[in-house]
This record gives sequence, structure tokens and C-alpha cells, in this order.
Amino acid sequence: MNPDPPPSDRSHEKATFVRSVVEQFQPQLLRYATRLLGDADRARDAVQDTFVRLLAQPRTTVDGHVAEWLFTVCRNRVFDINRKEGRMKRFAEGAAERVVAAEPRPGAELEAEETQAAVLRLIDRLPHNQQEVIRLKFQNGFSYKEISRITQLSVSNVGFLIHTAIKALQREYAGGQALDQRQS
Amino acid sequence: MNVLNEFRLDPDDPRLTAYALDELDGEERARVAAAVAADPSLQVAVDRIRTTAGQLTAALKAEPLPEPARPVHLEPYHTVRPARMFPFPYWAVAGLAAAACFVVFVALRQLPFSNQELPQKAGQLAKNAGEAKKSAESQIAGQQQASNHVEIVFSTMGRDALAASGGPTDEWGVIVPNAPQTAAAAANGTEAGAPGGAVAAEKAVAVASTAAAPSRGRPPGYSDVANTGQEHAFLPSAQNPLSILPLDAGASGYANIRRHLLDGRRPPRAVVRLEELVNYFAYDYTAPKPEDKEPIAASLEVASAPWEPLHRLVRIALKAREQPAGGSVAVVARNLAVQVEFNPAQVQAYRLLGYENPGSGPENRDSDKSDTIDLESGHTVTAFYEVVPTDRNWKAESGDRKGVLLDSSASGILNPRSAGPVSKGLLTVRIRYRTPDGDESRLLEFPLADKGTAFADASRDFRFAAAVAEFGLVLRDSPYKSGATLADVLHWAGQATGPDPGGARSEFISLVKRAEAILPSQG
Repeated sequence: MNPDPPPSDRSHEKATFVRSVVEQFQPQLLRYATRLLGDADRARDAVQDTFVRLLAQPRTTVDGHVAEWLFTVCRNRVFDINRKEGRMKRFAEGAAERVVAAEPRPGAELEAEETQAAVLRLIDRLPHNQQEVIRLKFQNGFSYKEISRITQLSVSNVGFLIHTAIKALQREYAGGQALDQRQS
Repeated sequence: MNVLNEFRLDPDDPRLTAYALDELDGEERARVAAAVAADPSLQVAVDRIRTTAGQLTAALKAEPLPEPARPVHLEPYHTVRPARMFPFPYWAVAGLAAAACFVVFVALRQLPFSNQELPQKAGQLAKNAGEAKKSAESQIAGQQQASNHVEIVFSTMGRDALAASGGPTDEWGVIVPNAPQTAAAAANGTEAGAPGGAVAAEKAVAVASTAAAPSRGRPPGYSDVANTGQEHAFLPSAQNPLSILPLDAGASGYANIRRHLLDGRRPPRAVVRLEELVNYFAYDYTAPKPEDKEPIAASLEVASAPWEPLHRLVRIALKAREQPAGGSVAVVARNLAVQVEFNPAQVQAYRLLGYENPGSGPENRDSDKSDTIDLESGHTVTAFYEVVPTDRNWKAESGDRKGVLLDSSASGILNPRSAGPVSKGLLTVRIRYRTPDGDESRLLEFPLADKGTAFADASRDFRFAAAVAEFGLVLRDSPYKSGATLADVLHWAGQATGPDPGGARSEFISLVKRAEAILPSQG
């Protein structure tokens, strides 16, 4: 009923391990969770929960894929938080889309802004699910397979979302540059 | 050459993107590579994709990383530097006027003076309280003050007032049943000796609760503090046989409490969340075996409650299937909901410990609604119910804490519950979830019979988790804490530490000792 786990003198080693993981991944996880939740406070809660769970996790189960484990747990925590708060307020997906729709086309902005800022703005206009996989891929460096495990989407679904997003960005960006040239 | 082997690819094929991003393996990769080599328009497309990918990577990597507003607490407690991680708690300000009333009440109830002396003492104490309030207001005016200043004001005002009156310092916020006049004086502000002391005492408790917790709004950094000290009451099972377990415990509460205690402060009541404390620790629950069909196992256990031996404490623990080592995290059950059905033949009343979210009460809610979680592989959930057996003299009083302890002197304290008929058992736990693909809804049932186990004979994990819950009851100064003491917490937790990989349980012991030094001594 209650088998004893093997005694461990490695608590110190574990704490050191977790501390180094926190140092390495906390900012990335916070950025990811903040994007998903739209709220830095709750994102911090989700990330904190993630590390607390890592502490309770046998190291053998996370070795070799800590980043993937962290993002998976953090993402699930984020969705738990959203579900919980959904009782009072529905997930702000619609709000974000409305903001996007209200913004002007990017052409004029491209003139003044540097490329990176323009690209970030274009990413912000993508649907939520495309934004998420784009960030996991290009911001956090996960492979299609890892993204599939983190998001519970199929690998081909991940591939389709990334492909669609890239095509959309190419169209938008080209459109912006074309406008740019016409104006100059 | 061979027409049958020729593989045509549209430039708008997702596989081309995957190829450009080096996401294809083996045969598929070779086929796409051959198609690209044979078609210049595909080469152009691949180049464009890689250019866009490069821009994306550059832009996203340059996106600013958020600065964590507070460090994550993972170190053993003696290595943690006291740190101020929260800005000034404006949210606490609303309760300060109430806090002044609270001081009067606390001070008065602790002084064993006679009725003749009362009016004079009460006036003096009210004056002290007024000064305390003024000092609190000046603290607020100086908004640079760090949060612990205000909280110190909170926790020491009562003692200052007492010291001024030459009275003993004691535990705060607890009603002494045989001092109705003092409680009445608290409620009236200055006048002592009014009748109806019990009612006034209840009001005073309500005021104290309000004072100890923010009234509304989110204080920065805390999760779910919007709820105040209001705990779930005992519910009669005849009218409310069904209870939904909320399941959504966070894990950051423990770190908050630790921070407060390490800074030498009593954590505000709203920060002390029993479910977060209990779920902070790892437990050795039985996991489903790989050959089991169901991905969730339940470990149910019941023994006497350590803080109230006449009551039964029920632990409901769920553990999700472990992934094979080296595997990744996966959701093994979606939309998991847990319903508990109490048997009124054995259970008079029950109370869920913790989970005081606004609107997430355990009472009779539709389990299809939002109290669901997705359960990840290896994850565990622990919850406690305190149960009043039918052979105890218990009387419900409309949502009121007095419902519980009418007979603590009767019928043999410390005797385990006499084993009654267990034909229908104590309760049944029902778990509903959807399979990860979301297609199939499944229902599991786990009955629990009460064999009258004494607390000392319960499993080690049960005893440790119960000690953690008891710690929460003491820290909250819960109206349901009955005989809970920090000494008992130390005693029970110390016996149940076990192998303790990671040292979390040993650290808990240190934290309880720390609390002993901070909290006023207990009766």
C-alpha cells in the first residue's frame, strides 16, 4: 500500500539542480506564460507552481528534456488558471482579436519602425494557436515533436500551424514593404 | 527518371516548410529534398521560408524577457535571505479601521478583570487602540514603508495595548466563552457589561476576520486572495449528501507562508490556504499500474482528526499514471471532476478543508461545470474532509462555527469512533473525466468504509498531510481548529517525516518551529 521510496541523500544535489533550472528557464517561462495569460501576476503564479512541481519530480523523469517538461507543466497550469478564472471572466481571446482588428494595417508603421518590432507586431496579429507554436518554435527552440507533446497537438497539426503562420507573415510583411516602397 | 517515383510538391505544402526548418526525418526528408532539387520554384520557396524563420527567430529572441518580480523559493529555509518581494499592500489598507476594532476586542477579551473595573479599562484600551489606529494611518501616509511594517502593526497592536494595560499577551482572535461581557465591550467599542455577549462575540470574530484579510481586489503577487477568512462550514449530509471537490490547488501558497515566517511575521489569514500547503508536499500514493485500464488511482483513508478526535478525517488522494522514465509529461485525463457522496447513515455533517475560492464551494454544484482540471502524468491531488459521525451530538446552526463542538466533554474523548455498520460505507468518491483524445467520458467509483482507525495508526503520508493541514488551521486561527496546536503539529509531523527525498518535510518541521517562536504562545 505504502511502499517506501528509496532513501535519498541527494536532496542537496536536487536543490542545486532545481536552482540552476530556475535560473536558466524562469525568464523564458514567464514570457511564455505571460503571453498565454495576458497577465504577469498570474503568469508568475503559474511559473512558480511549475518549479514547485519540478522539485517534487524524480529527476530521472525529467532528465534530458527539462525544457519540454517545464513548458508542458507550465502550459497546463496556465490552462487550469484560465479555466478557474473563466468562472468569472471568459478567456480574453476575443478581446485580443478585437484589438488586432482595430489596429491599422502595418504599412505606415513599417516606415519608421525597425524590422524586429514590425515582425513582433505581425506575430501579435496571428491567431492565438499560431502565435503559441511560433513562439515555442522560434523563441524557445522546440522541435515540431516537442511542440506536439507540449501542446497535445499532433505533429502534422503543429506543422500546419507553423506553415500557415509563416505564409501569413510573408504575405503581411511583403504587403508592408510594397506599401513602403510606393510611399517613398 | 521513373515517373512512379516522382514526388511532386506544391510550394504551399506544409511539408516544404517542415523541410526548410529541418523538421523531417528519414525517407520523407529524402523525398522532399529530391523534389526541391528538381524544382527551382521550390528552392525559392525554401529560401523564403528560411529567411522568414531567421527574421522570426531574431525578433522573438530580442523580445524583452520579463523580470521576475519575486524570487522563486526553493532553497532550504536557513539559506533563504529575508526579502521584501511585494510592494506596499494598498489592498490591506481598507481593513485597517476594522483592525482597530479588532485590537479593542482582542485586548479586552484577554484581561481577567472584574466587572467593576471594566468600563475604565475598556476606555483606556479604546484610547490605546485609537493610538494604534493613528500610528497605522501614519504608516499608510508614508507609502514608502514596506509591507511588513503594516503587517507588524497588525499583529502587535493587540499586544501593545495589552502591555499598556499590564495584561498578559496571549493568542489573538479567539473567543473565550465565559467572557461575554468583554466581547460585548469589544463590539460596542467602549461600553462593557451589555447583555447578549455571545452574539457580540460572533460579530467580533467577523470583524477580526475582516481585519485579517483584504476585503477585495488582487494584492500584487498573491493568487486568489480575493477571498477572505471565510472557511467552508460543516454541512449536514442529510440535506447535502453531494460535495464537489474543487481540485484547483496552486502550490505557491507554501512559499508565501514561508516568506512571512522567515521575515518574522505571522502570515495574514488569506495567504494561508490549506489545500496549497497540503499539496505542496510529495506523497507516495499508489499509482495505476501500466496494465490498468484507468489512468487514475484513488487512495482513500479515514482516521480520527488529530485536532478533534471525535471527528473523522477523510483523505481523498488521486494519482495519475506515471510515464515511463524518460518519457514526457502528458495529460492522462481531461476535464477531471471529483464528486463525494456522503452516507447520511454514518455522516452527520462534513466540512471541506481549504479551497476557499470565491464561488467554489463544495455545496451541491453541477460537476459538469468548471471545477475540472486536466490531470498530468504522475500528478497527485490531496484533499481532506472533516466528518462528524452520526453518533456524535452535533447541531447545525445556520452557517455558524458553533455547530460543531457541543459535546467535546461527552462520551469518551480520544476513543476512536465505535465501529458502526459499514454496509453502505462512509462515503463514495466518483471521478469523472474524459480520455486525453477527448472522446470518451469515463466514471470511476471508489467507496470508503470507516474501520475506526485512530490517527496514530494511520499511514505515514496521512499523518504528515494531516499535520500540515493542522498547521494551516493554527496559522489561520481557524474557527474550526478545535484542539489544534503547533506542538501537536510538530509531534505528528516529526513522526511522519519518512525518507523525505528533497528534504521538504524536514524543512516543514523547521518552519513550524519558526512559527512557534513568532505566534503568541498557545493555551
